[in-house]
Amino acid sequence: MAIPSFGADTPTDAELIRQLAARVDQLEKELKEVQGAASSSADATENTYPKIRFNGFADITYHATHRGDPSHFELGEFDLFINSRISEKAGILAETVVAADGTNNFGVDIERLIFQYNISDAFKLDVGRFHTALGYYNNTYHHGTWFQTATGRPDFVNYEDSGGILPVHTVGISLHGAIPSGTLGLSYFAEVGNSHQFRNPNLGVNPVANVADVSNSKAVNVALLSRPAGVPGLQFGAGLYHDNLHPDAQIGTVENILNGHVVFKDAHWEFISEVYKISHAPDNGPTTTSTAWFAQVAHQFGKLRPYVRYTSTDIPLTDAAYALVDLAGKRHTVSYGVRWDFTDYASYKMQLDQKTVTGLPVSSDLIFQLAFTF
Amino acid sequence: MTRFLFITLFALASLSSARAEDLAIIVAPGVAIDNLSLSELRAIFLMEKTTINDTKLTVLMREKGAPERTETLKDVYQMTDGAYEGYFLQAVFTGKISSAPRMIPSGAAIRKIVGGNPGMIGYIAASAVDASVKAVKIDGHAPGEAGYPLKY
Repeated sequence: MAIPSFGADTPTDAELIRQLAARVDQLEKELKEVQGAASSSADATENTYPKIRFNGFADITYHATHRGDPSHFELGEFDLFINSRISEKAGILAETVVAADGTNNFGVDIERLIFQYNISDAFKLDVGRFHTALGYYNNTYHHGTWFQTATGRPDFVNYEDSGGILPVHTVGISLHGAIPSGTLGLSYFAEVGNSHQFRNPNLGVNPVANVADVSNSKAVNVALLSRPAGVPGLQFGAGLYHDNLHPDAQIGTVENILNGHVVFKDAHWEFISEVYKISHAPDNGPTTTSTAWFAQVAHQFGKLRPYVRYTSTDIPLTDAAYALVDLAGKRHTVSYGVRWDFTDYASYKMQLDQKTVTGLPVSSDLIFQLAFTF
Repeated sequence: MTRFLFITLFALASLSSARAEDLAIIVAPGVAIDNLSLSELRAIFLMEKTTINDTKLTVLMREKGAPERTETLKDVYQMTDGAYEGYFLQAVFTGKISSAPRMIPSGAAIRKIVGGNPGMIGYIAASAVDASVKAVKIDGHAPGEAGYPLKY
C-alpha cells in the first residue's frame, strides 16, 4: 500500500479513506480464509487411528582404555522406537535394538513391547516387556544414550546381560498413575512379572524371562514417587521389589530390593542419586546383603554440560546368585565428563572413567561418544 | 488536517501494540473449569495431568516463533524451546504420553478449535477472547486484573 504523499495531485481525503477501507476488507477476508483452512486441517487429523510415530537412537563411541580391552571404536545400540496410538485410550510402544556383542556379531532384541491402556490419570495399565520401576534412572532412560547426560548407565544399573545387578526389565503387568494428593504430586507403580533370572552365562540363556519362567511364583514391585508442586524439578521416591529366585533353576532364594532416590533437574542443574539394599536369602544358607548407590551432578553452561558421577557396589563374595554371574565383590567408579549439544538432536560427550575392583589395579577408560536421535 | 489526524492515529496504534498483553488460557464456554492454579496449569501443559473436574483436556500449542508460545514456554513450562522439544520426546520415549501437544498456526484457529471442542485447552491474547470461548482465571485472577501472572 503506497504511503499518502503531500503533493499537489494526491487523491481527496474521502477517496483515500475509501481506498484504505476497501484494502482492510480485502485483507480481513483473506485472513479468515487462511485461518479457516488451518483449523479445518487441524481438526481433520485429530481422531484418525492408528497414529504411528518412528524415532531412532544410536551412538558411536571410541574407547581409549588402560588395563582393559584394547582401544577401539564401538558401534553402539541401534535403537528403533515405535509409538502408535490405536484409540483414544490405547497405544503400543515398541523398542527394538540391534547391537553387536563381544564377538562382533549383531543380534536383535525386543527391549520393550508394551500395550498401554490409559483408564484415567490414576490408573494406567502397561502389559508386556517394560523397564522395571526401580529408582529414577531405569524408569527414565531406556536404550537411547542421547537422552542421558553421561555416555552410559551407572555400572550396577546396566542391563542384565551387560553386568547389571538389578532386574532392569520385567515381562508382566504394570499398573501406575497419579494419586490425588494436591501439591505433593504423588504417583505409584504396582508391577508383577516373571522372575529375575540368574543363569550361568556360558549356558547362553537370556537373563530376562521373555517366554518361560522357572517357577509359578512371580516377582512383584511397588514404588511411590513424589514431585512436589512447590519445587519444580524435584522428585523423590522409594520402592520394594520382591522375588523368589532359582539360580540355575535350583536352590530357591528370596530376593528383596529396597531402593530410594532423590532427583533435582531444572534448566541449569541436574542431580540424580539412588541407593539400593539387596538381600538374598537362600533356602540352604545365610542371608547376604548387598548395597549399591550412585550420585551424579551436572551443570548446564550454554550448550555444554560438565558432569561428575560416583558409583559404588558392594556384593559379598558369599552371595551365591551374584557369584554365579561373576558380579560379587566391591567396585566403584568415578566418572568425569562433559556433554556438548552441538545440534538439537546430536551430542558429543567426553568421559573419563576410573574403575576400582577389589583385588585388581585401577583401570581407566577415556570415552568419546557421538549420540544422536533421528 | 485530516492527513495529520490519520498519521497521528496510525502512530498511536503502533505504540499501543508495544504494551504488555495478557495471555488468556481458554476452554469451551460450557466446561466446568473456572480457575486453575499456575502449578495445575503447568501439570496440564506438561501432560502430567489430563483431567480436571472430570473434564479430559488436550493441550494446543502455537507454532514456534509466536509471542504467545514464547510466553507460555517462559512462565508455564519454564523451559526453552529446545528443552520443551527434549522433554516431550523423552516423555514419548518413556511411554508417559503418546505425542506432544498439537501445534496450531494461529490464535484464531486455537479459538475456533477450543470453542467447538469441550476437551481442548489453549491460549490466545486476552484481547482476542470473545463469546465463543471462556478465559480461565489463574491463581484466582482473570486476564486484565492486577496480579494476573501471564503477560507478554
